[in-house]
Amino acid sequence: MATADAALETRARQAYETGRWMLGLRHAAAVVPMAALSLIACGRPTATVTGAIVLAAVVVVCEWNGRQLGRGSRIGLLAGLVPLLVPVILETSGRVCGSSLCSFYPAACLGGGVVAGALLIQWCRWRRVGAAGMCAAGTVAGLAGTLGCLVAGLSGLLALAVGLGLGAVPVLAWRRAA
Amino acid sequence: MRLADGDRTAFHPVFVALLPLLRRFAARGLSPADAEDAAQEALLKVFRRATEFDRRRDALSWILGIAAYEIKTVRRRRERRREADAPIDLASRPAPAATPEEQAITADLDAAIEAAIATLSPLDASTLRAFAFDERPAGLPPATFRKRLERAIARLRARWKEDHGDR
Repeated sequence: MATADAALETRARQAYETGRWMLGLRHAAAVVPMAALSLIACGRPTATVTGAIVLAAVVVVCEWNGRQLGRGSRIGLLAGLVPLLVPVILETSGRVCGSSLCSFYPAACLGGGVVAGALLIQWCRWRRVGAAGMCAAGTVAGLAGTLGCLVAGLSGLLALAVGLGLGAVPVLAWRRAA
Repeated sequence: MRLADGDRTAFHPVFVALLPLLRRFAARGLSPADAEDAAQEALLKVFRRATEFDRRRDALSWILGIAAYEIKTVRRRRERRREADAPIDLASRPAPAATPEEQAITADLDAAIEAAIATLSPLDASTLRAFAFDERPAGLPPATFRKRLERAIARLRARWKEDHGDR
C-alpha cells in the first residue's frame, strides 16, 4: 500500500506540474494579441515574433514556478500594456511623424516606461511581491513594452528601459522610506 | 492556498491529508474497488486544477465538489458498462404463454431473434446458442468465450437495432 501511495504521489506531483505548465500557457496566450498589435503597428515581423516568443517563454516559466515570480509576471503583463499601447496607438491613429526618424516615439516609450515602472512597483508592494517578483515584473513589463516600442527602433527600446528605471526607482525608494 | 500559489513545500502535507479523506468520501457511495478508482482520479484532478483554485472559496468544499463529480462519473461509467455487458438472455425468454395471443407473441419474438442470429457469422451464432443453452465449447478458455460472446452480442444488438429500432 505504501508503494502504491508513493506511486500515486508521484502521479499527483506530475499532475500538479502539468497544471502549472498549463497555467503558464494560458497566461502566455495574452502575448498573442500584444504581438498582433505590434505586427500591425511596427512593421518589424522578425523582431516582433522574437520578442513575443521570449516574452511568452518568460511568462510560462514564471507562472510554472509560481509564488513571487508568478505574481510578478502577471503584474508585469498588465504594467507592460502601457508602453506597448502608447506608441502603437500613436502609430495607428494618425502617424505623428512622417519620416522614420522621429523623437516623438522615443518620448512616448519613455513616458510609457515611467508609468509602467511606477505602476509595477506600486502593485508589487500592494500584492506583497518581493524582490524576485519585482525583477520578474520588470522583465515581463520591459518585454511587453518592447513589442510596442519596436516602432521607434533602438532609441525606443533604450527610452523604454530608461523610463522603467525612472518610474520604478523613485517609487521603490519612497515606499522603502515610508 | 499555498499550493495554488506554487509553493511545492505544501505538496506532501496536502497529499497526505487528502488521500484518506477522499478515500473515505468515495467509499460512502461506491464499492471498495470503484471508490479507490474515484478517490485516485479525484486526487489527481485536485492537484492538476490546484492552480485554478479561487482563494475566496472554501478549499474543502472545492475538493469535495471535484470528488463528488468524479464519484458520479465512475457510477455512470459503471452503469454504462453494466448495460453494455448485459447479455440478451435467450434462455430466460418468457416460457410458452398460456393464452394464444401470448403464444403468438413469443413465437414472433423467437422468429425475430432467430432471423437476427441467422444474419450473424456462424461463429457468432454458435457462441450465442452455446451461451443460451449453457453449453460452452469444451477446451475453449473462459476468457476467449467471454470475448467472443461480447462481440457476438454487440453484433446482434446492432443487427436488432437496424431491423427493429431501439425496441
